[in-house]
Amino acid sequence: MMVMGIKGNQLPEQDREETLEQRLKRQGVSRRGFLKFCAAAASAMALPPSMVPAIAAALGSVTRPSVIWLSFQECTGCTESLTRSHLPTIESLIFDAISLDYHHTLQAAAGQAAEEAREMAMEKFKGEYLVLVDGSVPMADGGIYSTIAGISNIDMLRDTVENAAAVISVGSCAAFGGLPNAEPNPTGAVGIGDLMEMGEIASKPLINVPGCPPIPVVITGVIAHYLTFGTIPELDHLHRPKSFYGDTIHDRCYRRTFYDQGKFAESFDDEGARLGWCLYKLGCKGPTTHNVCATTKWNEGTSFPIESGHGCIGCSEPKFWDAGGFYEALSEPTGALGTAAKTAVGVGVAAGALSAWQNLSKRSGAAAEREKVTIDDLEQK
Amino acid sequence: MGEANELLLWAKGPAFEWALGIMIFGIVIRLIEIFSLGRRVDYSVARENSPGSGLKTIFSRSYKVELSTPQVTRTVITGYIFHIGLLITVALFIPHIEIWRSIIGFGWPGLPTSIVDFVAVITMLTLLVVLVDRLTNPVKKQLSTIGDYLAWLVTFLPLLTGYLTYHHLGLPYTEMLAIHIISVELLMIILPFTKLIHSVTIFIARWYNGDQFARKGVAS
Amino acid sequence: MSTLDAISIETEPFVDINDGSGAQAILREIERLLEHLIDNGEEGVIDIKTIPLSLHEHEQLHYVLGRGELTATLNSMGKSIVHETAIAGVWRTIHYNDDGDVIADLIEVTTLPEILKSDLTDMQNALDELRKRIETEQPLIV
Ligand code: SF4
Repeated sequence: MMVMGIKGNQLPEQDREETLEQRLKRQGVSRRGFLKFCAAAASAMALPPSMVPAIAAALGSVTRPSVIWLSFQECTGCTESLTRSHLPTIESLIFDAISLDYHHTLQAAAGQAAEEAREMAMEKFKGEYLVLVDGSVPMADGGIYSTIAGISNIDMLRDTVENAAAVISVGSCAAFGGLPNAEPNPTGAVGIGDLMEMGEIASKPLINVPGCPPIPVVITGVIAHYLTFGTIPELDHLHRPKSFYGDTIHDRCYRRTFYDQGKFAESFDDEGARLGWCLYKLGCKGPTTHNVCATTKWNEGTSFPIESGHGCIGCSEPKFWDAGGFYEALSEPTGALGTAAKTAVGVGVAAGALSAWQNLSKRSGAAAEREKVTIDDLEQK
Repeated sequence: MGEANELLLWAKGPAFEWALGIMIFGIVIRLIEIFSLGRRVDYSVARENSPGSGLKTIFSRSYKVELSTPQVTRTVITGYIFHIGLLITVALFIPHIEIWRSIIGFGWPGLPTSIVDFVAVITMLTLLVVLVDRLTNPVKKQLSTIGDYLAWLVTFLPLLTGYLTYHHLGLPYTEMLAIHIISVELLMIILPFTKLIHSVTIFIARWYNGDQFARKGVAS
Repeated sequence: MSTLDAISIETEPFVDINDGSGAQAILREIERLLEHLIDNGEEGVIDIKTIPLSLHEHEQLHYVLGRGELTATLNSMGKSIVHETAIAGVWRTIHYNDDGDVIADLIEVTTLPEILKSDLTDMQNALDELRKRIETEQPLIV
């Protein structure tokens, strides 16, 4: 696997000064090859192909930034996803284009040497390095639930983010807390953006790339964007790049016609399911999920969950684990309705009886106190 | 992070639980109050023995309407349109049927979304006509209380927010959906305590009237 | 017979949803771009890989555009194929990576796709190279 080529290496100084284009040229890649790379990069970054000249110009001038990749409470699914990007050209170039100074899973160095590499990069590229994070950060009990080299995640993050140029949260855990943050959240897990809001770590430009895991080309696309233009792409209110998270799955779903026609699969093996009808009733969370699965797809563009017959579970949205059952329709209330209804009837009957009793006694009281008018009374008038 | 989602989860979860609870509580207490009022025993002999009269009246009052003046005609027709419209949007839109299914345990076939969408627009327009009528007709204006306007508002809002949600207008879908659900919860909470309780009591009232009239010799 | 074999395998017929008008929309866009190229000399390009099209729509699109008389192959970081469609000025460029996966699929409306042209820096370097070759009378191995 070509990822093996990156060794948590400290690059010689002149290599850092080299632009990507120069580097490619030195490797014997022609201008045409470079333009081709730019076209593929535009496609991966979800930019219009008319941006290719701009990408080419940018890549011809930027040098390789240092990247520190931190992994906290996570399952390595995000890194697994990244290394399965079906655009190996882009992926290898990204790894060529950055100096990955620290990454648990991918770096060759281990133990003390690894931590030293991180500290050296932080020292040398103060204010310039990019921090990538996957995994959430446990905050309960002083953050003791996850440590690396004896350093708690929150301490390492605080330290590393302090002088970073920007932070990219890869995956739903880093972005929003993800699975570790699901009820009852025993480790007090939170996402990076929340930590910034809480003032636990320095506030830096933040890009969230949520998904469980995110689509590989989305991860590479976002990194490529930062590397290419040195800027943060346009973000939505959850800090997600609009180019990838601007539309919902439902907006771009090929089963949408069936949704509109009111044709729904009722079970996973009925006629409707076979005919490819909408999966809303089977729990599809597509309407509230922002991601590009429907267009970019997975596994080298083969398909995406809905195309494979399963509804979207909404993995790129905050709190998706607690957003109601995966197989319950989006509109379904999530509370304990039976209990609520029974309690309400009980309380209602009690209160009703009370008020009825009050009304009745008021009435009989009024009847009792009513003064009787006799004929004599009337005649006196 | 993710306030929109949290709002939606709150709206679908605890808020709905409470709204449903309050609505049921309200309906139960009001029904008990009404029934416990009781009626004097009627010692007169019934004119005619007409069992089914109460039941028949529940329906007959819906179609035996005399359109005496243009004003009445307008009231009846708009009334019909928006009531049927409401019924269609509430009970025949497929995502709504799923809510019913989760509450009462079973569902039924729905209508294509485009039809429900059209009906919703008609219903909203009719509700606007009804409001204008209430504001301009001197008699209706005199009779209207703040409760009537409140009832109109909480009926109109779910339609409007639902329409905006479906068409991705105004706010992002997730926020709009949350607001739509909350607007419905508002309706549920207010329903028992305003004239909207007629959605339940109308059947009791019609049955009672039908039955009484039958006793007095004017069976339906 | 193992228990697994006891389970019969049925293949479902492939359902392709065939009521989209994606191809029509793209063709109209190409029409507009070509008009623009003729009138103002401005080029345009569409990335069809990022547009959700059904199999049927894809076929329809390429059926209408047809295949022209010119095809070029580029071998740099994987293969690329550039060909003019039967509509002059409308080109299709498909880039593959080393594994043969499509990494970009473009429809370019231009007189000649940029990638086919020789680059100025490349030409300057080539000039030196040519001079060297003339002197030594043999090709240098780069
Ligand atoms: S399958 Fe899901 S995303 Fe697709 S149309 Fe139905 S509800 Fe929307």
